[in-house]
Amino acid sequence: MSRIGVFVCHCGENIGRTVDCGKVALESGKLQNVAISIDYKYMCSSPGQELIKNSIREHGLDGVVVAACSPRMHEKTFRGACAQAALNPYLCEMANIREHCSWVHDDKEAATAKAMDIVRSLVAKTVRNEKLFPIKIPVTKRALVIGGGVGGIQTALDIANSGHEVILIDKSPSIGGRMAALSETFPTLDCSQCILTPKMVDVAQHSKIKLVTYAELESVEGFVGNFKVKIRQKARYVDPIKCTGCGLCSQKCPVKNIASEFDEGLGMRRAIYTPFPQAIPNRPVIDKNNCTKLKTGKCGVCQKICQVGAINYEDKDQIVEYEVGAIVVATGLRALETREIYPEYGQGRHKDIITAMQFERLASASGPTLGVIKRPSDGKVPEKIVFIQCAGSRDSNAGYPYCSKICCMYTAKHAMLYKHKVHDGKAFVFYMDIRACGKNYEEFVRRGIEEDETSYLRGRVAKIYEENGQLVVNGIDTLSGEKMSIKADMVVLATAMSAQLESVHLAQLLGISYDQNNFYSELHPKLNPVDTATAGIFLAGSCAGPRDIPDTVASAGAVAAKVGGLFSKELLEREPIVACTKSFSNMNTCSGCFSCLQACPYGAIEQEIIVDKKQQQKKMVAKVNQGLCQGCGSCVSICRAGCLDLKGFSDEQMYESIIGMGGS
Amino acid sequence: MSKCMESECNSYVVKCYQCGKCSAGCQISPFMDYLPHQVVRFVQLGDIYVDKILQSKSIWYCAGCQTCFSRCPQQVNLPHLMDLLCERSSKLKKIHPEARKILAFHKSFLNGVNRFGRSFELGLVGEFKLRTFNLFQDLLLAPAMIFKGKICFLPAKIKNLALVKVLFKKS
Amino acid sequence: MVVKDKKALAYFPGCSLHSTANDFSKSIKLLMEILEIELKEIEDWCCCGASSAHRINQHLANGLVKLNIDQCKKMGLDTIFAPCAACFNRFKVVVSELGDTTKIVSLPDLISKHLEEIKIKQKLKLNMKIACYYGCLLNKPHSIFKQDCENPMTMEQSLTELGMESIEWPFKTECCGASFSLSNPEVVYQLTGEILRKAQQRGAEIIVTSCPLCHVNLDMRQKEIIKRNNDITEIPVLYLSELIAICVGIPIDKLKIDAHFIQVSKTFEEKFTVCHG
Repeated sequence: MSRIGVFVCHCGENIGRTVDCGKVALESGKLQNVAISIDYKYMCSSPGQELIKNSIREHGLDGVVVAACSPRMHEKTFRGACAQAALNPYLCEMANIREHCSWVHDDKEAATAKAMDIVRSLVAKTVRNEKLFPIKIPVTKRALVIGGGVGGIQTALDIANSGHEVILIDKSPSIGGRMAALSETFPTLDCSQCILTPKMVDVAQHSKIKLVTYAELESVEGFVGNFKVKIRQKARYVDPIKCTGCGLCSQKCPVKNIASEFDEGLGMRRAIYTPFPQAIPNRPVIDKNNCTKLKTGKCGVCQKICQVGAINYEDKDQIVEYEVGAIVVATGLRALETREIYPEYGQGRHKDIITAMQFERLASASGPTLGVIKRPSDGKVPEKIVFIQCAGSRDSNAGYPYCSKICCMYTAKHAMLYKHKVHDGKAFVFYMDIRACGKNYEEFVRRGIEEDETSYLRGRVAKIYEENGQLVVNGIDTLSGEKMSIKADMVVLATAMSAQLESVHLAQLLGISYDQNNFYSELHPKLNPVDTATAGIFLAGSCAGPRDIPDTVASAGAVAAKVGGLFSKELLEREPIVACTKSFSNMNTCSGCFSCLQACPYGAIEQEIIVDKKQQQKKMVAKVNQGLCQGCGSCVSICRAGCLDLKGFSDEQMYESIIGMGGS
Repeated sequence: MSKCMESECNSYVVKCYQCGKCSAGCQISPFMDYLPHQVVRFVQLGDIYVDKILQSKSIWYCAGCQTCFSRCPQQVNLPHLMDLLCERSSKLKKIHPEARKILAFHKSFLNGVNRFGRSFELGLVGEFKLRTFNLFQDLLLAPAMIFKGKICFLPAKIKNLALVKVLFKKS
Repeated sequence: MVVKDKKALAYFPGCSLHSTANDFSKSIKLLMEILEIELKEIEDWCCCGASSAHRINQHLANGLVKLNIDQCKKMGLDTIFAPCAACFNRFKVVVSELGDTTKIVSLPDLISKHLEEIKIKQKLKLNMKIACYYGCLLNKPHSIFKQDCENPMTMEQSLTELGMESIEWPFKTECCGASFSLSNPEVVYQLTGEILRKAQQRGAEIIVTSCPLCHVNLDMRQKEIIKRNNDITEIPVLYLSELIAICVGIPIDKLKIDAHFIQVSKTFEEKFTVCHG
C-alpha cells in the first residue's frame, strides 16, 4: 500500500475553464493508494510548491502526482520541490491534463472525466515507480563553435574570456561571415569592417581560441560534456605557417576571371586568393576547381613566385578529431536566390537588378567600385534607384511565409547611403509594412524619409522590364490608390533571409531539430532561446531565424553564459532515464540478436561477453552504455526477448498506467 | 451573399494582406472603378461594402487573364473571386450600368450555346447589337469579314443538345 | 528525337476555328497532315463556354468542358489537342480541378514536341524578326501550369531551332483585352495597342501567335489601333501553325493567310529562304 498525493492545478483558467478541478481532486482522493488529494489555482507558484512539500512531510507521502501541464513544461519544477521535501524526485509524476485535455476539449463534463482517467493512470504508474539517482559524468571543458561570422566570433571570444578553450571553425578561408561584407550598419551608420575586424584580430590572437578555417564538420559522436567531433580541414594548398601573406601569388595567378564570392559576383578574384584584404587568417587558399595546375598539371606560377615555398600542390583534405564538451552552432543564414521565384522581375535578364548584398558591396569602401555606386551594366552612377522590400519574404506562394526582420532596416540604410553618395539621386522604396522595432530603429527610418528624402511607396511591384537602357518598375502605392510606373537606373531587391543550404545536413549530423523553413529549433522559443533539444548543443545568431547584428551578438553572449554554466562543474548530472538490461532470476535472457544495436541512434549499445564459472565464453549479450543512452526507448521496443527496459518508463509502469486508465 | 458563396469568397480574401501587386500588374485596371486589391478589401470588410463591389464596374472588366493570381504572394485566386462576384451581381441584378454591355455579350454568347450547343457568332453579334441598341458598332468590319469567309451564316447545331440544355437548366 | 508511334489526338477545334478563325483551322489541318499526326475531332463536341460561362455561371462553365472530356473518353483517347488558347485554358483548369488524367496540349507544346520531325521536313525559314506572342491563356495561372508564365520561351526555342530569329520582349504574356473585343473595343484598342507598340519598339517585323482571340484583336482591330496611335505601323500577325506550315513546304496560297485583315507584304514570300540541312 502506497501513500500517494495528488495535486490538481487549475493553471489559472487554462485547465479550470474546461476541467472541474475540484471534482478531479475529490474523486482522486477516493482512489486506492491515494493518501491526500488537493486542487490549487497555480500549483507551480511558490505557495503551490509549498503545498506539495508540506503534504509530503505531513502525510509521509511516498509518491506524488501533479495533474497540471506537460512534463516538458514543469516536471523539473515539481520534482525539484519533492527533492526539497526529501522525496526522491523520480517518485513524482505529472498527469498532463492541460495539453492533453483542457486545451483540446470544449465539453466540461467529458473533459473532467478524461482528466480523471489521466490522473488514475498516473497514480497507477507512480505506485510502481522506483527511486532513481542522477548519473554523473565527466565534462570536457572545451567548446566547438561552428561558423565564424559575428555570432561565432562573439561566442568564441566570450567563452574564451571566461577561461575555457574554444575551437572555432569556418567553412570559408576567412572568418568574418556576412558582416565582413557589409558597408555600414544601422541604425548608427558605423562602418561594419571597422567594428568587426578588431574582433577578428582578437580571435586570431586569443590564447584560448584555436581557429580552424576552410574546414567543415564531418561527424559528431557522444553526448553533452563528452562529444567527439571530426573536422574536415579542406586542402588549402598553401602552408599557413610558411606563408607570410605577402600576396604575390594572388597578383601573379593567371586565372583572373572568377566571380568573387565575397563581392557577390560584382568583382573578380584569382584561383589562389584571400577573400578580402582584412581576412583572418590572412593566408591564401587555392580554389581547386579553377586552378590550372591542379586541373591540368600545367602552370605552377604561384609556386615559382613564392619565396618561402609555402605552395604545396600535393595537399590533401585532413580529418582532425577533437574532444569537446559543448557545441555552438553559429552558421548564420543566406540571402535567398529569387530569380526563379519572381520571373516577372526579370532578375538575371537585366544586369541592373541587383540584390541587397550586392548593393552592400557597391556601397562598401572595400568593394569592387571602392564605394562608388555604379550600376553593373555600364558603370553609370544611377540617378534613380528603386528598392523593393519583401523579395521572397512574406510570400507563401514562394514558400517563404515569414518576415525576414532586417530588410526594412537595411533598405532604409541603403536608400540613405545612396543619397549620401549621390546627392542628386532619388531613391524609391516599395514596402508592405515598415517593421522598425528596435532601439532607435523607427527614428532611423524617419530620418531617411524626412532628411534624405527617400520616397516610400506602399505596395508590391508587379513587373520590371527594360526600356531604352532603363528599368521600368510597375508598382503601386495602395495608400493613394495610384499605380506607379517608375523609370529607374537600378533596382535593388531586398531578398529574403533564408536558412543555409546545408542547414538540414548539419542538423542531421548534430542530431538537432529544425523548423519548416530549415532554421534550427530552439528548446523553447521564449524561455530557452539558445538551447537546442539536444543537451550540450547551443544556437547563436541567425541560424535559428533572421536576426540583425545586435540580436546576434546578444544571443552569442547568452550562449557563452550557458556554456560557462555547463563548464562550471567538474561532473555533470544526467537524468537517469536510460535503458537497462533486465534480469529474470539472475538469468540474462539476451539472445544476442543485436537488433537493439542497429536500432539505437546514439551508439549506446555495447557487446559484452558472458563467461561461466570456468571462464569459458557462454554468449555475447547486449549492454547499455548509460553515458551515451538518451532514453529514447527504441531498443526496448525492438527487443524480441524483452530483456531491455527503460528506467522511469518500465514495462511494469506502462502496463499499470494503461490498466489504470481503463478501470475506474 | 449566399452562405456558400460567402464562405468561398472569404476563403480567398482572408489571405490577402493588401500588398497591391494584383493592381500594380493589372492591364485592365484603368477601366475599373475600384482597383483589384480594393475589390478584395471591400469583400474583406463585408456587409454593405460587398454591395458596393457587386455594383462596381471592376468585377465585369476583369479579363480573367490570371496574371494577378499567378503573381499573388498569398495565392488569392482573384479571377475566380471576380467570377463569383459577377455571378452574384447578375443574380441580384446589381449590374453597373456601364457593365451591362459586357453582361449582354456574355448572355448573347451563352444563348447561342444553349440553342445550338456551339457559339454562333453571327447570331451572337446580332443578339448583342439588339441587347445593347448598338447597331452600328463595327459595321464597317462586316463586309470584309463576309468577304474573307470569316462569317458562317448558318449555326452548327450539335446532336446531343439535350445534355447541354440540362447544364443550363440546372444552373 | 523524332516522336515515334504517334497516338491519335482528340481534336477540339472550338467555335472560333469553325468561324472567324477558319484560317487557323486550315493551317492546323494541313500541318498535321504533313507531320502525320492523326487528329480525331471530338464527336459532337460542344462549346467549352470560354470566355463567358465562367463569368456568370461556374457550374455551367465546368459542365460544358466536362461534356467534351467525357466524349473524348468515349472515343478511347487520352490527349486533347485544343489549338484555341481560350479553350485550352478552360480545359486545363477544369481537368486540374477534377483531378482528371486527360492530357491537354496546346499548339506551341505540340510543335515543340515534334520539332525534330519538323526540322527534317523543313524547307524554308523566315528571315524576319519575329515577336512571339503567347497572350495570357497559354501559361497562366502558375498554380496549374507550373511553368514560366512571365517569360515563356517555348515558341522562341522552336523558332530558334528552325533557324529563325525572335526578339526578346517583355509583353508576350500581357492581356490583349480578349473578349472585350465586342463588348468594349476601347479596352482592346488600349491593351493591344501597347502590345503592338512594345513589339515594334524592339524591332519586330511580324508577330506570331497561337490564340484566335488574340489574333482577332491583333489583326482585325489593328487598323483602328493604328488610326489612334501614329507611332504604330502595320505589322502582320501569323498563327504559329501558318508559319510552320510554310516552313515545311505548304504553299502560301493553300493557306488562308489572305483572310487576315493585315495583309502580308507582296514581297513576303521573298522573305523566306531555302534551308540547308
